[in-house]
Amino acid sequence: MEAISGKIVSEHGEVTALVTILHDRTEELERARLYEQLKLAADEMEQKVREATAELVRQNELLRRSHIEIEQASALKSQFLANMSHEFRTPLNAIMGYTSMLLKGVAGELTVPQRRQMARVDSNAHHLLSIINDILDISRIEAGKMPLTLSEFELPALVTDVVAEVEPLIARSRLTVTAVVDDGMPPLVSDRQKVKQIMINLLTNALKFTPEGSVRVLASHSEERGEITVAVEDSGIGIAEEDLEKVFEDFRQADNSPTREYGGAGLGLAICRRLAGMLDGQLTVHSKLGLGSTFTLLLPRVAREQ
Amino acid sequence: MTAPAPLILVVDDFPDNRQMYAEYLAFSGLRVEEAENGHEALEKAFALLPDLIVMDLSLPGIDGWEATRRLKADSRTKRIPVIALTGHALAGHSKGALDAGCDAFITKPCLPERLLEEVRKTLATFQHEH
Repeated sequence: MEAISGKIVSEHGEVTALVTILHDRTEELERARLYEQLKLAADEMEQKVREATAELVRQNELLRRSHIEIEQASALKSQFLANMSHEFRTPLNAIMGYTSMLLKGVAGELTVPQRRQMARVDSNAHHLLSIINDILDISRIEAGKMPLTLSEFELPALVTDVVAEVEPLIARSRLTVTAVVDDGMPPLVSDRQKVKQIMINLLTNALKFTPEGSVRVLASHSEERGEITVAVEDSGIGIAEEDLEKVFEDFRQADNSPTREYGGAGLGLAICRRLAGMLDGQLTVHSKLGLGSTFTLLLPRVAREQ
Repeated sequence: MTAPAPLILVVDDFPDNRQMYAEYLAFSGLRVEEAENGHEALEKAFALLPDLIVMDLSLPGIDGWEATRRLKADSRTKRIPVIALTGHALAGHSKGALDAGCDAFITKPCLPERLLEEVRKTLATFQHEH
């Protein structure tokens, strides 16, 4: 509170009145106080913003560094896998070569049991090679070193090729395998070898995961969308809803436990999906546990040049 | 008198693979010599003038590419067909081999019968040309 006092004096010098003006400064002081507070708060805020910005810059730098580290680690991993697959192939070359020579009777005719046992060595060596090749494929795709070779080809002939190649497995499986191809399929422009690799993989998977029943290969096309569809449908064990996407992950099967029933590196579908993507296509799955699965490869009739 | 069987020089530093191919080619009626590095490959190629050379590319010292370049640059050996062999499946190896002058290219693993097939095919092509 502020008080200003004054006297009112007459002509004769007599005090006629005393005036006291009481001035309430509460508001003003309050305003000043608030202003002071505001200023403090603003300063504090500015300081905080400055700190936060510095922190952000620091975090960005850390992120940038870890991104580079991850990229380097990934490149190293790809290089390591490529080197390893080379290291594996050299001794495997000798194993497969000598096995084949023994089976051919280069060192003399084999007895029936010897022949049967060498045939086991041979088929297992081939299996090992296919796993090594899968690992090499994944590392090549990841390193961007998987070139495409586009050409024009007929899908019906490819379906026949694929079924013929898988024939030994079909014969062993006792499953009914049928191929249904649309009439009037237009020729496809894509990488024939890669499309074949995907189809063989889908078909061998279907055979592997179908204890009884049938497997169908269905090839169709859509003129207006310029698309080709190859579906491989089985009546096998199926995949649970929550595992549907997992089957496309690297080194993964729906049942990834050490006690799982089915062998394999779990790379096939991961490779297939990547290859489909390289060909501007898609690989999808529909499945019900216990009721079978359908894997569908969708490809543009004409793939884009890389 | 029948002409002697074609002479094949097999070059590979990994003895198990080299001897395997040599044994199978010999079993199939061809004459075979072996070399375990690029240096020996050049010496034997100039001394024996084989009908065909099977060349592994990854060799210690003078590698398969360099050995092939030298053979193809020399008038005595430039007409000898060279089949390149490699365990490296990465793209680039085959192109490098053909640039060096190799006449065919095979990726390991390569079964002995597959190599024999390629050797016969290449020999037939070259006999036809020369």
